[in-house]
Amino acid sequence: MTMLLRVFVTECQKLKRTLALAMAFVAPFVVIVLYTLIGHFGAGQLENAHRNYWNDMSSNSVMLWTLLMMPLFITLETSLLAGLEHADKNWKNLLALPAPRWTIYASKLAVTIGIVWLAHLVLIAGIGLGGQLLAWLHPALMPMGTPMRQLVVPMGKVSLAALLAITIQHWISLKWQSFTAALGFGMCAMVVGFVAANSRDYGAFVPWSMPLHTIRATGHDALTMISYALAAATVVAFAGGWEFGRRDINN
Amino acid sequence: MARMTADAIIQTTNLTKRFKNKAAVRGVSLTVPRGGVYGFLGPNGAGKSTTIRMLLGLLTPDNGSVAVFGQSLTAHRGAILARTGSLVESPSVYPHLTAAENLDITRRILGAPRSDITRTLGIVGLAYAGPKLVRHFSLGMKQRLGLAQALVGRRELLILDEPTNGLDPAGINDMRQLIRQLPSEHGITVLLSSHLLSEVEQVATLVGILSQGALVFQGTAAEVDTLRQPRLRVRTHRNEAALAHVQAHGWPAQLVDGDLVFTHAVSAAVINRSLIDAGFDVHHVAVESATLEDIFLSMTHAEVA
Repeated sequence: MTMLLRVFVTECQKLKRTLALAMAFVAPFVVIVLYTLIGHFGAGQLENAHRNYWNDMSSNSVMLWTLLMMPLFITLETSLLAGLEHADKNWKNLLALPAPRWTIYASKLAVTIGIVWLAHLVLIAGIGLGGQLLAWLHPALMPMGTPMRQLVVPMGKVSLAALLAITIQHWISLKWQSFTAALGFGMCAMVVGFVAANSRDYGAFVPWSMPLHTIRATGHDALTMISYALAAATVVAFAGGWEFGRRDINN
Repeated sequence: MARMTADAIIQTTNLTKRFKNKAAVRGVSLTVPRGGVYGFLGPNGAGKSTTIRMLLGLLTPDNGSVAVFGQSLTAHRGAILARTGSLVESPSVYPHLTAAENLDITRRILGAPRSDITRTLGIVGLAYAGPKLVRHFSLGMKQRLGLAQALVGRRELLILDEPTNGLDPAGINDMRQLIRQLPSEHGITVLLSSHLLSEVEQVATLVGILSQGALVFQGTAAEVDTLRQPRLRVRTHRNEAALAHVQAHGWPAQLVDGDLVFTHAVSAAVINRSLIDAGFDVHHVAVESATLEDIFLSMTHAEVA
C-alpha cells in the first residue's frame, strides 16, 4: 500500500508543467466560454422568448461536454500521460525500479481519472461562474440562482459512467507507443459513441455513449447503467493491469 | 567456460530469449562476481541489451533463470531492483522536470532520503544543475543524470548498457572516470556493456564476450589481452608465392584479403629481409592490433576446434 501511494505521488509529480494538466482547465473553459458568449450575445432574443437561460446553459454545456468534448478529452489525456513514458523510452527506467508493475498501472489510471474528474469540477464551477456573470449582466435572462443540482447530478453520473471509456483508452495508450494509434482509436471510438448516442437499444452499452444515456436515464435505469459501467471498467482495468505486468519492454 | 564464483552478484543459467523465432540470446550462463567492473562486450546486435533487459526484469526469458544477490529475480524482483541501479542505452528522463525533480521521482519510489538528490548530483558532477529543466540539458548532461538516477538509494549493483553512446570524447572520458571510481569509492559492482573493446579494457577487471547471442568468453581483462596479439600484414607483388616461401621457412601465415597475415609473434624486419632476399617486391608491411571481430573469430575457431 505504501508503494502504491509512493508511485501515485510520483505520477502526480510528473504532471508539473504538462499540457495534460493544463487541458483539465482549458477544455471545460472552452465549453463555459461558448455558452456564456451565446447567453451574452443572444440575451435579447432569449429574454423575448422568456427562456430561463440557466436551464439551457447547464443542460447544453453538460450535453456538449459529454457527447463531444469528454471523449476527445479522455483520448487526449490518456495519450499525453502515456506519452510521458513513451517519449524518452522511460519505461525501461521506470519498470526497472522496485515498484510492482500493477502499482504503476493503477497509479497512472488513478491520475487519468483524477484529471477527468478535475475537468468536471472545473466545468461545474465554470458554468456557475459564467451564469453568475450573465445574471449580473442580464438579470432577466437568469431569473433564479445557480441550479447546482442540475449540474452536479448529471455530471456525477457522467463521471462514473465515463470510467469504462477511460480504462479502455488508458490501456490502449499504454499498450502502443504511437501517439497516433491511441489518438486514432479514441477518435473512431468517439464517432461510434456519437452515432450510438441516439440508439435506444445499444447506446447504453457503448462505452462512449453510455455517459450520455445515464444523464437521460432516471432511477433504476441510471443505476443499472452506472453499475454496468463500473463492473466493466473494473474488468478492463484488471485485464489491462494483468497484460501490463507481463509485457516485454523492448525499447 | 563460465567461472562459478561463490560470491557471484549476478548468476544467469542458460538464459534464452527469442523474438519471432529468432534467438536473440542463446543459453547464456553469466557469472558476475561482487566488486569491480565487469565488461560485457559484444558487437551491435550480439544480444547484450536483451540480456541486460532480462537481468532487470524488463524482458521475460523464454528459458533459463536469473539470480541476483543470490536470489531468484522472478521471486524477489522488488528486493533485487531496490539494490540495482541501471542505465539502459539512452537516459530515460522527463524533460519537462528539473534534474532534482527527476531524481526525486526515483528517490520517492526507492524510499531513499531527500539528501540523495544532492549526493548523487554531486557524484556525477551536476551539483549546479539541480534546479535546471532537463529539456535544456546536453546529451552528456542527460547521460550523467541517468547515472545519478541509477545511483539514488543504496545500490550495490549498477547495470550500464552502452553508457557512453552519443557522448563526445570529453564526455566519454568523464563517464569512464565515474565508472572506474564506483567500485572503489562507493562499493558498487558495475556491469558495463559496450561494443568497444578499447572502452571496456580501460575500466573492466573481468570480461564476458557475447557473439550472436552466445557467451563465447568469460575471463579476466588480462586474458582478453593475450587474445589481442598484434598481427603482421605483408603485401608483395606475388602473395601466393610469398606465402609458400614463408611457410617453407616455418613461419605460420595465411592469406587474408589477399595479404599475408602472421598471427603469431614474428619479426617484421626478419620477414621483410627474407622476402626481399628471395626476390619478392614488398609493397606493404604493417603491424595491426587484433580487432574485437578478430577476437570473436579466433574464439569461434577455437570453440570449433
